[in-house]
Formats: sequence, C-alpha cells, structure tokens
Amino acid sequence: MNSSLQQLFLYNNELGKFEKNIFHIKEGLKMNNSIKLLDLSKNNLGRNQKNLYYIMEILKYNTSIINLNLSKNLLGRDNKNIIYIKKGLQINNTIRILNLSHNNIGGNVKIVHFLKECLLINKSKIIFDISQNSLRDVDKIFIGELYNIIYE
Amino acid sequence: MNDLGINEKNMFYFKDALKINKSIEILNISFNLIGKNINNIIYLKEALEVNEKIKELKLNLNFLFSNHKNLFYLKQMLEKNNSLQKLNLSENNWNVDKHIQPELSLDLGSNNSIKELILSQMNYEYEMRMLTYLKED
Repeated sequence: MNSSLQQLFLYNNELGKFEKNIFHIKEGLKMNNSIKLLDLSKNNLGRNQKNLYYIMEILKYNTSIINLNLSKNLLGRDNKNIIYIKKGLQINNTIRILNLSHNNIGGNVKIVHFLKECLLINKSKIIFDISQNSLRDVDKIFIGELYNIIYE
Repeated sequence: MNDLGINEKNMFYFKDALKINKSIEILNISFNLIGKNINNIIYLKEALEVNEKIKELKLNLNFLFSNHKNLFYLKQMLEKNNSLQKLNLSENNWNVDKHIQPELSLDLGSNNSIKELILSQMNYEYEMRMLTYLKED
C-alpha cells in the first residue's frame, strides 16, 4: 500500500457524473493515512447527493486530510449536500482548510442555515472559503463575523 | 510538443539518454503522443527504472489512458523507481478505454517516493478538442 502520497489533485474530471467514482475514492482513502491535500474541485459533485454522502464518509473516517477542496461543485443545488458535509465535520477532527467557494450556495435560506451550522463546528480550527457563492448581505449577517471565514 | 511518440525510435534513443542522465531533475515530455505506442511506454519504463535523478515527471496530454497496457507498464515503472516525487498525468483522458477506472489511476503499487499526484482534466470532451486540433494540424 502506498504511504508516501501527500497531495492528490483530481480537479475538473466530471467525477460527479457517476457515483461509483467518489465511492472508489472513499474506499481508497479508508486505507490511506498519508494524503494531506485532496482536490476534488470542479467535478459537479452536487448533481447527486450520493456523492456528498461519500464525502461525508471520507470526513468521518479519514484522519490525514488537512486541506479539502470542494469548490466549483454546484453544492447549492441540493440542501442535503451541505447537510452531509456538516455531518462529516461533526466527526472529523483533522481538516483545517475547507474550500466551498463557487458553489452557488447564496439565496437558498435553508442552505445558508445549514452552512452556518457547518461553520460553527470546530470554528476555531477550520478555515472555510465560502467566497463566490452569491451570498447576499442578509446571508452574511446571518452567518456572522467569524474570523476564519473567507467571504471574498 | 515534439511528437516524440510518433516514431518509437525517438523514445528508444531518449531512453538511453535518460538512463545515464545525472543532472535533470524535472522532465516535461507533455503533449508528445507517447501513449499511442506501447513501446514508447516500455522505453520510458526502462529509463525511469534506472534513472535516480528525476524528481518531477510531467506526462500531460499523451493519450496514456487510451490503452490499459500503458498503465500496466507505468505501474511497473513506479514500483522500481524511488526518486520521483511529483507525477503529473493530467489531460490523458481515462474515458477512452472501458477497462480503465479511476481507482486504477490511484494505484501506485509499492511506490513510496511520490508525494504529489496530479490527475486533472481527464475528461472526454477535452481530448475530443485535442483530436480535432490534431486533425486540423
């Protein structure tokens, strides 16, 4: 088993098209303790909530990933997507940087509500990038001025 | 972009050069049609099984995933090479050969030197654009 790989870049692969893609990545990461950076950006994961279910599983069971990039995945398409991330973060204790930018989250009150719950988990430990999500001023006021959030 | 892979003799001589190389640490042979001929991959494998200097290898845009045998030899190479730290296989389209699944791409065998693996933009549409470009050329 490989134990040296620290950074895995899988951006822009349309992985969200078939849920087995993220399933296989989840299974691979179960046995891996070396990867610290996982880039899954621009993979249209938000098209199927099952993809985010597997991301939740990764967050629950992996203890090496520090930096997770989920930007540009249309997560705002389904409330469940953010709920799964929240559930994963409730268990996870290693993530320090979570990139949720460019996910069209703004405008949906329920999703903004769930997003706030996400942000309040381990709030002093994780840096959240939620920039470029069309968040309205009212959304930002609701989420509040947490110092570890990147809005712009 | 030198079309090295079009004639396998190019890779044959290139292999001999790489075997005795003692200075190059970053090797970029992207966009060279290397995956179009299995012998090119075998030569690359032979070279990198011996070479201990190269730390970064860029093989973008080489049709590597168009044949699952290419991956077989690449994996063999990775099992013997212990110097590579960064491997970029992006833009090689893993949708062409139905035998290739993303999990195969994650299999680095017993390699313990690679720290950074880049497998971005492996999508079909991108390579279609490449093929169109090659036809026009």
